[in-house]
Amino acid sequence: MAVIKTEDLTYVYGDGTPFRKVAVDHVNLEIEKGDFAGVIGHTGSGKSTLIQHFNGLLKPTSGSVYIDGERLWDDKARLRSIRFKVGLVFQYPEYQLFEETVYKDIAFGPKNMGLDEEEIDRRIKETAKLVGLSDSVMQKSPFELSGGQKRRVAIAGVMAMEPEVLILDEPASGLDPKGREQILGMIKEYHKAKGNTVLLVSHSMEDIARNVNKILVMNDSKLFCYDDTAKVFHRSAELEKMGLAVPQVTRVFSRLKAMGFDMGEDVYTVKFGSSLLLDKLGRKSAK
Amino acid sequence: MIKDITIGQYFPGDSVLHRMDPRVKILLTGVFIVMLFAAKGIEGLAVGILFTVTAFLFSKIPLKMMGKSLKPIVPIVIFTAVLNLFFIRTGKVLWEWKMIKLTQDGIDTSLFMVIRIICLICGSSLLTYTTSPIDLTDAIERLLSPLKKIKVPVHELAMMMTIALRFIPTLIEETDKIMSAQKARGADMETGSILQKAKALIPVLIPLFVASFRHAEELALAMECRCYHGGEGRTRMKQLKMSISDLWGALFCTVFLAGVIVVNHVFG
Repeated sequence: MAVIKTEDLTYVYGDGTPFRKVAVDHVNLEIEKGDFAGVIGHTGSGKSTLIQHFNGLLKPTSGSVYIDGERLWDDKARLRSIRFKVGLVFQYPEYQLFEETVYKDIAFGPKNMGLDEEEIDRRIKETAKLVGLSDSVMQKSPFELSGGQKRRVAIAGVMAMEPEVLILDEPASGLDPKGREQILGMIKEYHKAKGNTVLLVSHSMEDIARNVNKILVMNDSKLFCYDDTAKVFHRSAELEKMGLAVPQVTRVFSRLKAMGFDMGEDVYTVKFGSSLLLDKLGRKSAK
Repeated sequence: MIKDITIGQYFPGDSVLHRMDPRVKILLTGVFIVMLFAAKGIEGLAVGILFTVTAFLFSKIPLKMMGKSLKPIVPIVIFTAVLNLFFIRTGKVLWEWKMIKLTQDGIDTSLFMVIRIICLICGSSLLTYTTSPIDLTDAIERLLSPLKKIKVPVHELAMMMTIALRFIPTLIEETDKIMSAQKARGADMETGSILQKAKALIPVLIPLFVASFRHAEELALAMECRCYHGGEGRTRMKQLKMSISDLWGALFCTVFLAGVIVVNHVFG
């Protein structure tokens, strides 16, 4: 059964004022358990609005959202428990840190869940290890840390709730390449370790291509498609029309194909591309 | 949603009133208030009502918005009406019961007061409906600039007001985001006792506080980088200019004011 399902989900900002804007327009979607999905789309295409429906932060103007088969907003009192099931990490999450110590800040979510001290402690230690926070950092004030470390603390704060679905909105934005790599690496690690569903919103096709197995494309408030990575990147012409680029390496290979060197089209990571090239070159030199 | 709160109550549009110089609009609002208070009887007030309705029609503001600005003063209106109704004891007695006396004068006066308050609110809210907050502060700065002579830091005050206005939406958006983020972590802000609710605000207030300091620092730096050094010798991109519509507005207002005075004399 799909862990997230939407039916004609529509959300309108500022209804009845001159600022009215349809942000999400009749989206029908099913995300399976265990998927690692990338969410892409232009700025203002409705991605952020869409994901805020998945844990009941926004109430649909019309249509419905189902989490594990349970329809959200039927019982408002249940929303809080839905939020423990679907963890959402906002963009620039470091701005939400508030506790005296890193340890306490990560404990905020699990504490709200009503877990006992022992369980909270276990989860914090486990997540800290996963995101690479050392014991000495744990007793520091979050405001003393560097930007990249703050980001890790904030993400750890949601991961420690061990949500069945983890949604991250641009978790790597504003970081240097090494920082990006580390953050994305730890998200991948989390997915692997827990087998939970992960949704990753990103602008970087390279980041998406390297990590996810499915892609959700939003365009102009509508769902363009939700499909396997390869199938989505196959529609590169349509993506480019929306102003979304396929990964650079995919473009290199489609250009090569146009020039008469067909080496397949499903190349969307540099690693795979270079191995293909090496194979090809190897065969050529053998002739 | 906290986002739906409107700041000021500017309603974008392109009517004659929108295009008028904000300085003129502020001054004419003053004239309008004088006009309403100059009216002595219901006949003079009728001229004031006519003015309010005409100005409203020119502004092209939906009637619904007007109703919105009247909502908060409903208690005041009721209070005034009741006060006048029962405490004016002159004139023909219409109904009497023990201490309470209802007189013709009482009814007339309370009706007069209620209409005047409603006109006052409708007319002056047209100013804020048709002028953006930034234009308003600009105009206030210009109108107050003679006070510079007696060392009142008019420019600095106006700049502070502009910045404050500029950051209200930013901070609201920020509050919204932080609240969502903490709610996503299971923060419960709706239920519990007052003490619990106050406590639940800590995870929102601390990041917000940090954010405002960050904004202030960034803004100060950005202003300094662009060589801001106070108001002296500063020119503006958007010059306030008076146009023909301002002249018409002033004329229109004067005619009505004169109308009220004449009517006062005729019926008074």
